[in-house]
Amino acid sequence: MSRQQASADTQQRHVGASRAGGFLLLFALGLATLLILLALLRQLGLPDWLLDPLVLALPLAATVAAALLAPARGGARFHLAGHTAGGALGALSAAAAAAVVPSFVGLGVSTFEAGYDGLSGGLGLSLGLALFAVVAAPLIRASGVASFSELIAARFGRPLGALLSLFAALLMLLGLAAALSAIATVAAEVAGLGPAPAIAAAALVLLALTLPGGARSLTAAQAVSGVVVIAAVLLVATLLAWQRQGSLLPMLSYGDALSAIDKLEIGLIGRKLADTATLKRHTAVYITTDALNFLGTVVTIALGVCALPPLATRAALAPTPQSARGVAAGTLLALLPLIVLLPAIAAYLRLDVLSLVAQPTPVDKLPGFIFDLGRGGAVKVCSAPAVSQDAVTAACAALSGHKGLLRLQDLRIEPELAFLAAPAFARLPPFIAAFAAAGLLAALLSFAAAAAWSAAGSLVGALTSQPGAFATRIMVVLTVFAAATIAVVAPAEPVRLVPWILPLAASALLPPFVLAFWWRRATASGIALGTLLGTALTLYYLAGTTYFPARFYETWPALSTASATAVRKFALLKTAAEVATAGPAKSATLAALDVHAAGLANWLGLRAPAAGLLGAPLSLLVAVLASLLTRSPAPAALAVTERARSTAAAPDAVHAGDAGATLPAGR
Amino acid sequence: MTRASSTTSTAPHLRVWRRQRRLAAAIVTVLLLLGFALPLLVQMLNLVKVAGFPLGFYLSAQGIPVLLAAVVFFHARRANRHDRAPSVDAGRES
Repeated sequence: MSRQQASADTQQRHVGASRAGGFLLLFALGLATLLILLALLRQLGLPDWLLDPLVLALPLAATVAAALLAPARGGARFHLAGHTAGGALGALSAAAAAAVVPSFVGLGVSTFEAGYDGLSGGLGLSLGLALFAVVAAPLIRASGVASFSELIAARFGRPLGALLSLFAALLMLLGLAAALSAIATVAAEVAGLGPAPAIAAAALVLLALTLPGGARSLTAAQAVSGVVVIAAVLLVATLLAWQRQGSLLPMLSYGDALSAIDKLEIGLIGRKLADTATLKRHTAVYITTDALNFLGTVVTIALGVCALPPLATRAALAPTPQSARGVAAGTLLALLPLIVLLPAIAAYLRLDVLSLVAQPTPVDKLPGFIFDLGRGGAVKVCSAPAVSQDAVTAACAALSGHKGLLRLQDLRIEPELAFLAAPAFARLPPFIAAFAAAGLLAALLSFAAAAAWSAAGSLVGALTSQPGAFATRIMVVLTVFAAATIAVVAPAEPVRLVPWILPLAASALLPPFVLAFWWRRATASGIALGTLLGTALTLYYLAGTTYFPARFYETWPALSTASATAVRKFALLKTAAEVATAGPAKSATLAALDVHAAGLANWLGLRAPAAGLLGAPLSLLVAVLASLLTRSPAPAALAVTERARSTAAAPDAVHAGDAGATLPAGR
Repeated sequence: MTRASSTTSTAPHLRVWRRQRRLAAAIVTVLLLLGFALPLLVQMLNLVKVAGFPLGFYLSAQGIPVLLAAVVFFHARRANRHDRAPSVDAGRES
């Protein structure tokens, strides 16, 4: 390809990306106009039963339409979208998939439940995206590879490439199954759908987002999803701040909400409406975790996110290495509203919950929205699903010592549905919650589609060196079908295993991914040994502490942080299990032993989300040492590294590597 | 292609790569300090309150992610400027 042709082609790609950015801006404006129009129509009498489904369905329909309207292309264009996914298009599409981390880890499991301690999710994600932008994105594009699998195969040989591709596919399959389970949970809350129909519908949507135009469809759908997700978070946060404080800048004004939370928490303890043993002070530091686990979680999320194959694929779709750098930086910028505002939404929800308890509120006179949320599974009161006033009153009456007033420990909001509960607790119009649900579903679908595409790509990459559109389409169908089956048959298991994804990605995928570009001396044998040992250590720790806690604790008692009391209780339970006769009694004592042992089975108190601290350094260290002890890689194996380094420094030369045109034989 | 001509054509790229490597090392150091070291000071920083926010909480919730984004954009700008340098050099050499 001549220099002029290359330049013209690059120019054309930038124009394509820029035009897509214009469409996305128009879509954002259209979405805002539509919401204002629907709000006005509600004032004029449009009923909620008509308005809410419209607000929920229209953004999701736009996502599917974007995928279907993206032109279908075969060959390299099917996998690489013609390298037009630069600028806002690339950034928003990557952000939509990554939004699942702050949406669930940030707001759900952590910030709402754990206050400060939960901020590790947003910190880890920001750091991971930042590291990816600096050390990986431009080099991936410059190397000319289309995916993680192709990079590892080109640099370290096909056997290791195939093995790591299979492992990456398994991780993505797990993420996909967990996302489908989460979609079923959200669908039950907002539409009353059962798990099987919800998962089947989601699976069909995923096929529509990926099959028609491959990477092009996926990019278009994810970019539209990105706009919906960001708009949903911005709208909910702004309305909460406006209602509480008359402010349109929640990121600056929720400090007052934090102060009010502090005062209310202290007041509730004094009035015995909160239990000091279970209360997690929202702004207090290290209540649910400690400094080691907080930083360990940040490290694990950062390294795991940096190594996730969907991000590598996203960088490969950019027009140039420089554009890939911009896309990665833009992804972090696009996610900032979520990272910054989700803790604000969590704080406002916490304040509303505390205010409800502080009123005080009798449990037999709970507001109606509690039951609206409870019927979908979002809220429990006195450990019972809040499906009706009678059910709640009976559940609270059954608790010993309950005086009939709602206490903080009585009210439980399911963490993954906290984002949907926030508008209801703030008494915002129901269509706001419907739009929040659209945002949450868009984030989940976007991540699920990226995971399905990446898992299918990794599987095809493991099986063949010349992936075709047909093979990829078949593999996408099989992947989605497998994940949907898992989500229907064993919905709890993928959700339970989600914390394993990032520690395993950090241990298995990061060292080969980074060393492929940054260390010419890295050898296939060194990487294989390092990856094997690092992954085995992480897997041993995760599986041991999750599935065999009693045996794990007995193997490593000296490394556990268990208290003397907990150790004595373990000894008593173990004796009881040993003397129990075979049958149900023995099973019950063994189960009790395992439940207790789960709190003891650890090394220095390290928990699963922070387990990357173990495997990633070991993997890297062994890879380096073993590489130094083995023969230097052959020049052919370094071709992809050299191309990445030289092409990154010469923007016009990127075409030499496009679609792997110059990859060595046997890649 | 002779060895001499090969060296002449790749030297600017090598120079750029070395500059990019130095820049990346500096930026990664800054990122790691922001991401890991600053949260370690949270308990001390929380003694200071700004607009109702305990400072440590505020930095972890907003300050550090925003700073990370700013550093990444700074890096992108500098790195892209470095990338453009060899074409200019090559043009002058030829």
